[in-house]
Amino acid sequence: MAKWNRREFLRTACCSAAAGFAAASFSRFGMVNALAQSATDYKALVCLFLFGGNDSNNMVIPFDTAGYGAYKTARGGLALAQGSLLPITPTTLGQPFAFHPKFIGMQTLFNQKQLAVAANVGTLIQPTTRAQFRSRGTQVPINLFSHSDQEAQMQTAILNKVAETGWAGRTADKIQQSFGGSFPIIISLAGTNIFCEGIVAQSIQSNGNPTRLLNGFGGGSTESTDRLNALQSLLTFDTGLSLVQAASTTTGNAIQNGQALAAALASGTPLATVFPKTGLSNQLQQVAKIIQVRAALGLQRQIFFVSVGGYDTHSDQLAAHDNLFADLNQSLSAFYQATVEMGVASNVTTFTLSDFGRTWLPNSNGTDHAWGSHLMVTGGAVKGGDFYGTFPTLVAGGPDDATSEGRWIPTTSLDQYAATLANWFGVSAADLPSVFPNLGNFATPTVGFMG
Amino acid sequence: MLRLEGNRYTRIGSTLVLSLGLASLSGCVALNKAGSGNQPSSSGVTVTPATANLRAGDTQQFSASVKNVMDQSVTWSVNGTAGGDATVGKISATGVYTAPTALPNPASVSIEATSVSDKALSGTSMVSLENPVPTVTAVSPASVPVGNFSITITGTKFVNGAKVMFSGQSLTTKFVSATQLTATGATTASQKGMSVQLTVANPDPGGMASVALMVKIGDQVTVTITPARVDLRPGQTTQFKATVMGTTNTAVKWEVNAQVGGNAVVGTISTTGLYTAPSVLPDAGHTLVTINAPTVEGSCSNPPAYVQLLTNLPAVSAVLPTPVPIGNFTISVSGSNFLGGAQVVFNGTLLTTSFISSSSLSATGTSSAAGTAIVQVINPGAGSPTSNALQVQVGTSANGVTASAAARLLEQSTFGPTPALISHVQQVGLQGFLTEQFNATASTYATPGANDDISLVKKRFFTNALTGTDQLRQRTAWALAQTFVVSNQKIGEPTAFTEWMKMLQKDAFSNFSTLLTDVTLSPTMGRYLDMVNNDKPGTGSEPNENYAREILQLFSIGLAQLNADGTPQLDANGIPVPTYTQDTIIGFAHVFTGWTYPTKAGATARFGNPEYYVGPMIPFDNHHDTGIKLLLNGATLAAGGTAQADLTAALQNIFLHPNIGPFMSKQLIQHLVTSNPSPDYVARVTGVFNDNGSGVRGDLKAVINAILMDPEARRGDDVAQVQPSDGKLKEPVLFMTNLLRATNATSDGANLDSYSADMKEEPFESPTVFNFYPPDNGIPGTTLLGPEFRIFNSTTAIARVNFVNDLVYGSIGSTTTTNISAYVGLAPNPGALVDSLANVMLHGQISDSARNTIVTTITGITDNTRRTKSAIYLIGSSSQFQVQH
Repeated sequence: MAKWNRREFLRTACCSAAAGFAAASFSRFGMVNALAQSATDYKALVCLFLFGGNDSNNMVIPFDTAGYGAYKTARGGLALAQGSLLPITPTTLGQPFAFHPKFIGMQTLFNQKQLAVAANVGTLIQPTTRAQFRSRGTQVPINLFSHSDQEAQMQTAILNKVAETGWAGRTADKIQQSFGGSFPIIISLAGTNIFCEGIVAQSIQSNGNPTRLLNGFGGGSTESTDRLNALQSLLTFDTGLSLVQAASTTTGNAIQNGQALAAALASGTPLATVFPKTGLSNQLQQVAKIIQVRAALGLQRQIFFVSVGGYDTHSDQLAAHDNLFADLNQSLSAFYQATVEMGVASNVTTFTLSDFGRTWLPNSNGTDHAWGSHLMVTGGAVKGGDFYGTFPTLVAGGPDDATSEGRWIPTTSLDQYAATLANWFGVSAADLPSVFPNLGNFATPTVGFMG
Repeated sequence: MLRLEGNRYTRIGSTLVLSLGLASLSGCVALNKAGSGNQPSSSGVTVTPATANLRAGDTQQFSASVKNVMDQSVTWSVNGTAGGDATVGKISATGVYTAPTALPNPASVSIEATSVSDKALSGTSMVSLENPVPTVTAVSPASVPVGNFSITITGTKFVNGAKVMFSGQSLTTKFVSATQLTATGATTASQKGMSVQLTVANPDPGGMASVALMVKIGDQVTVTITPARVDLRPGQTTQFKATVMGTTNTAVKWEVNAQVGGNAVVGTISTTGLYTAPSVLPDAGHTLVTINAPTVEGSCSNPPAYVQLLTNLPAVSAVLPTPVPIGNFTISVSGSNFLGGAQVVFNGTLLTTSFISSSSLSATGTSSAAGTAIVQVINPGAGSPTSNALQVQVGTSANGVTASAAARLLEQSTFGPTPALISHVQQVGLQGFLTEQFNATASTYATPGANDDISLVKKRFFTNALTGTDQLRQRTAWALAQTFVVSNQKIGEPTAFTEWMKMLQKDAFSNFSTLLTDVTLSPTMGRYLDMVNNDKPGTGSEPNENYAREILQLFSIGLAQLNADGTPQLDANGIPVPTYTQDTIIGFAHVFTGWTYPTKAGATARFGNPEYYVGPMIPFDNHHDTGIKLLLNGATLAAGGTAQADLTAALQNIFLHPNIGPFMSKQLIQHLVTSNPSPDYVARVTGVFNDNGSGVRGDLKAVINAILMDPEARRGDDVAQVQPSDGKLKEPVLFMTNLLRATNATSDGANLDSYSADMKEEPFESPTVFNFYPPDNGIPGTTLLGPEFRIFNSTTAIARVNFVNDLVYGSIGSTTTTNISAYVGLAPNPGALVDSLANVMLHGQISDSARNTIVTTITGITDNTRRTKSAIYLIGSSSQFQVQH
């Protein structure tokens, strides 16, 4: 802590240098106050996207006798043994539920009220009933059940056309002026995603390693220096071709941001928290390292995007889910522990998104594309230990089923879920509808899981 | 059987008759030896001569006179058989008797003439048969050693029992045939140097010896090697033959320069005389090697045979720049085996040539007019070793194809231009090149062995891309592989991918309907999207929707109803009109029930066959849903269809959907030419998809041709016509192969998968069925599409530049090497070097500012190789190279 406080002080001093001796009139007390404020006013959102469409029907399971019995009957070969499940008791619900057997760390966080479940969240333009859906009485998102479209819609909250910005990008646009610096506010560790695209806010989109540097210039010879200068010059020439310009912009930013981020990370200290050796954990560990050097980057707000694939469990679901959930459980647990270690547990909120849920009724040994799914939010600022929204009626062909196989019509919209996070992050209630275009169609803009 | 018995009985009968007849005649033969007088027959027919002696095979005319009868005509028989037969000899109607070639036993026959008018009247003549007189034409060997020998005698009329007489002594003789005998015998030291008579005597009756041949005894053993002299270049082979005379033991030991078997320096020779020249020429003065073949007794060939080892012929692989300018020019000629003092010949004229390395020459000359020219290299030395003739383009080709246009077409239709291909396209023309490519034989994918994994397939993919002569088929198959996606992330069996790629190669220029059927029934796709073993609905289990959804969304029609130009049809609210609903997906999911893996040889077919990828999936109707199924456009399949019938009908329902043309055409355009085709461009290709001009829908060859020859694809051939939205970001695989082909790299494909993985496009490892990047990916901050930009980010942009660095300055693995000597040859003139690189890597379209920056930067480097590398690095890492435009 002391270390980055000092660095922040240096940065502030440096930036204030132009003010010259006028700064000398700041009282010592006032300076300390300013530092204290910047130290605590830090917030990060970490989006963890479960690509493929998570079958959350096997993540959060009714644990009461009748509920579990109905679950077991409907799910057949995919039903998890009741004795293997990890019970949880949502504070405001009258009945017990359980987590998947691999969710040991998630159960702990839930019980410690650091983790909340948002039930049956999905893309919705407006509240929609089964009758309305089947009679096409309401407008619904285009291309439901399609991976590419629903992944994009969950990332953009724009449900009726191909979007050019994501809801993280638009959220960042809103707070850029108040909290942003010169360094990009959004960092993806999981490739290029529309989630991160804003209008004014900048993003770094990377594959796990946002600090990769150019090889071959270590020697510092005249020849290599000249060559590096030429490389950079070539990136600035306007060829009149839009795609060439776009490629030059990406490459140029990659060189510049990579160097800046690498320099900042060089000042970090090793974390004691041990992360498992998985792709998801590697991404979250990188997020933790960047959060640690937030002051060196001059940022008070950051949004991160990490992801893991493989959730499209059309077949062999039980074994696949065991592996996926074990990774998810360990990775999220380690990341939360790292935020505790860095003293920023209440400054960092991690949340899940996924393409969609999956059918309640299985095919032979997997499940097919559906709609609403349960999502998780975790962090010190989360009002955890509870479920938010409305748990769906788990009956194929029942009131919450869009079809006959158990494709739950969301009971909480993505907009409400995301707006709850954006609002905590710093987007004012007044600004929320311009970030989430369908938010006004719902009675409550936020769903209360953030403190 | 009964008839056979009858025949046998008849033959026995005739033998009995013959035996009786001969017995009564035997005495006469002895009495009338050499008799020839007219002997009146008591039977009234007189046969003349009355007796005769004949050698086997000889002929004798007989005549007959019938007593007291006007009609003198007779019929002839031998031993009572009319006309005779092969055993006893034959007699013609006019009385010409031909003795048999082998003597019958006993060796005499009776010739009988019977009156035609009175069959009671007959007469006979008795013929004694004798062995023929043999002739000897050759004896092998012509001389025999002292001691035991064996010889072969050839001649004529040898009969079984013939004896070889050697200096009056009979040898142990074996009858081989009428023209060959073998015999063994022995000579003594006292006979050495003598010539003795050799004859052959047939046995009695009539036994008589042949005329003699002379055979020499105790001649020196000789070895003769052929060919006596041969010129060979490194690695070439020739077959030597040793002829050993004067001994029966003809075994030899083959030697090179007196060393049995030879060695790597002087060349090797096998035990059967196959000589292989060394791969490296020995030092001067040691290039003539001797070949000998001593017998086991130590006799050698004198003189020995010789091999003159020659230098490798020079070979020319490329000439830069391409085209060669009209007027004064400096060209860089690259190839192999160039020697100091080598000269470049340009259309028959020797050019002033500088030797740079064994693979690079630089030469200056003058050309007078546009056209083609022949470039060759002549090494110094005996015989003026001359290379192959490489045809190069001078100026603009006669058919008007500029080097820029040729290179652009190659960017769109291959895995990267090379100087040689640019020149070739200029010569045969754009359409000519495409036609050649449509007819090129498909590259292969070796069947994986038991211990192989997917890395084998990846290596082959890259080597096919780098060196396959079927570039367009490879490029099209790769585009299809990124549309019909399967991935090793789920499958893990290499055969699944070799079979898959062979199928895509086969179907690349076929009909889309064939392709869609093959894709659907491929066990690879079946496994990947869960159509394999998809069972009809049961208790608590629904058909798997995976393939049903993606065949519609990704492999055929897409989500929105399209106009022919690829733009979506919108409803009154501006929302795209969907092509199907969830109910349609459920309908197709039921169609695709009842199929399992093909049956392994030797296994019993059953639903739930074990994983196996050779051949199409097979149907089991008892696992196929037989209900009514909803298809596209409200069509339904009636209940009761078989798995095969439902599948055929459903695929036809898809194939006839109007979206297929624009949906597939636009994606193929995006893979080959541009990310942002105009609606008109899509519409033109859709028109060809819908009808190839002969009324055929879905002709992929016609579609590919239309895509590449469309005015919008070709407008950039003229730099003045390039539009800002033109081009596509080269995906990692294309980026890598373009650079490797431009740098004349050889590679076994190893490590390339790792590099492409680092750039987020590892072949056969797509993270999902949505490929590495989607066709509708927008470029942030623009209104343009850029599918490949989905995997172009902070990490991968640097990874690309670092790939260039590793290839140019470091190593991407020991099994991939570049050969940039052709460019190095131009390096003394930095401007010419950059122009030549730009011709190959940027189809000659480099902005003045970029050219100036690179020329200025590399001019400061004095070493020609480092200067060349710097230029390649800067062009390879530039966005102009990253984007195919």
